[in-house]
Amino acid sequence: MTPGAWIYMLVVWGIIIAVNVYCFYKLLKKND
Amino acid sequence: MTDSRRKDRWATRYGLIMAMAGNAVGLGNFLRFPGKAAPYGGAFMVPYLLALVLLGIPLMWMEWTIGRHGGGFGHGSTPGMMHRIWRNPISKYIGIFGILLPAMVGIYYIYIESWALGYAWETIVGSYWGKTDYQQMADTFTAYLGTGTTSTFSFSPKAYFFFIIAFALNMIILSRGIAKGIEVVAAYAMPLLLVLGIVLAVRVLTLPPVEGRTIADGLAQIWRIDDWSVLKRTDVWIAATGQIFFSLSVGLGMVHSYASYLQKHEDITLSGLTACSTNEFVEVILGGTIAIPAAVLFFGVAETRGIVAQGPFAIAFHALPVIFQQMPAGHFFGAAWFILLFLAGLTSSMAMFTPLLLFLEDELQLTRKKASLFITVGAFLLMQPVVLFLHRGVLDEIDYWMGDLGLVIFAASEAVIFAWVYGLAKGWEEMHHGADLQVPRVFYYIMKYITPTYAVALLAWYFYDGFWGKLTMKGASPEVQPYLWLARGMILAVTIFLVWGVWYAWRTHPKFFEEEKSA
Repeated sequence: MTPGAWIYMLVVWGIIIAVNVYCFYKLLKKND
Repeated sequence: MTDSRRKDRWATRYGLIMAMAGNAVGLGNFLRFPGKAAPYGGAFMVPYLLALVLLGIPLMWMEWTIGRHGGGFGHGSTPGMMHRIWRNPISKYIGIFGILLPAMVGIYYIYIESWALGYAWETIVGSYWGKTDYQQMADTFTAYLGTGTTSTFSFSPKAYFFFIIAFALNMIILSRGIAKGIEVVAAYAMPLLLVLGIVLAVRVLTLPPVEGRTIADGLAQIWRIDDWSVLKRTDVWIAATGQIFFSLSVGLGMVHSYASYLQKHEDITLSGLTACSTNEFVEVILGGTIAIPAAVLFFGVAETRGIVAQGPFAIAFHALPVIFQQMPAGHFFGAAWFILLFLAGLTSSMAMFTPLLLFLEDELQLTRKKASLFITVGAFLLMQPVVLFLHRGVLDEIDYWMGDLGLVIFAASEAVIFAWVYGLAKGWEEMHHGADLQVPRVFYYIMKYITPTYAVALLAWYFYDGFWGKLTMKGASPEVQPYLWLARGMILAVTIFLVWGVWYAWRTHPKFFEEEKSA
């Protein structure tokens, strides 16, 4: 893995995890 | 708009999201995705992510909207739903795809799912332990399926036993309905699937080097971009776009049926995005981390490429069992892998006969009991050629027409009808009734212009590339061709039944079709 590939992978993972956190946070907040 | 006469409802929003995510998360997340991505490296992820944003997520929102809208009129399947958004006699017949495709995919999907169940058992009892060579495991899998013989039938008692268990489980869940069946299973199976996936991913990421290879060498097969010119190749774009379709289960009619249980004031934008993002977490992060990196670590890059070229089952059922035998606590991790696959399969397959069940209930007015019995008997009979003539290509033939071309036809049709016939202004408003998430305005233009165009272009490519050869059975040996005709006959028989069903329902239903009768 080149440094660029690590960054690429972690950025995509980060975006996916961030969208998941955002969605579930909004859902939980709504259900409060 | 009338109220749905169906009393069954999603008991909780958590259950709905787990069921929708479970519908999307399937065998393809762990088997198909890494197999498609690995040959192209990190370049594959560029068209993949673009297709997700421009096609996958918009289509998901469209299907939730069409489903909830149709459900408000008491339709749980797409013939009625398409009729409600396009008052043209042909629309209800286009909607047949949304029953035909999932049911025909379910015919073979449940059998594949049963292999994972069978191999979970084989791993727990250690029946293949000691066969540490790739070819030995390939032969073991052939023997398990009974496909290695030159006899007429591909049959093995063990595979058939686990097929019966998987089939019975699916039919029991289906007959119990949404809240007591599908929702209950999804509510437990999805968290368990996520835990197993995370445990396996962490285990793979922490594996020590093997013969100088590290796990980073395996991840590089998915993420490192060696050659940007790959992006000029049409086949990469088609493979990536196709993967988004299969992964999100759009263009199949199942999302519509689940969404039909929602009330008009219930959110679909946030729920839809949550189901999508859960699917992407499982596919890209877990699916991309387990099979290919582990295979590269133990077999090396060249051999892994050869295994991937043999198809998605080679890595799951031949290569990984070899690896599990070389790992500490291999029985545990091996069983976790196959249980994970089985749960991924089950949470998808239990949705596949739901559109047909709801069509029989809502439009042909059968009772739940009669409709479940009809599906159980019909599906079981149709599954026999898939099981018994597996080695003659019956499964692959149904997969191409239904699980490949068919869903692109239906997705392109519904995208055009929703955006251009029903009208996106109305569709956008409908989508935002009760919404907990205001979708950014840019998606209005994406859904209006890009999604339908993209889907139609993909469909055109399917017809241009491979369709004629497939239709004329190019390359198929003469002894296999009767079996391919058998597969087509099965598809035709179910299609004729559904065409008759729609024709009959639209002339006899006392409640839903009064305006058509009066016209």
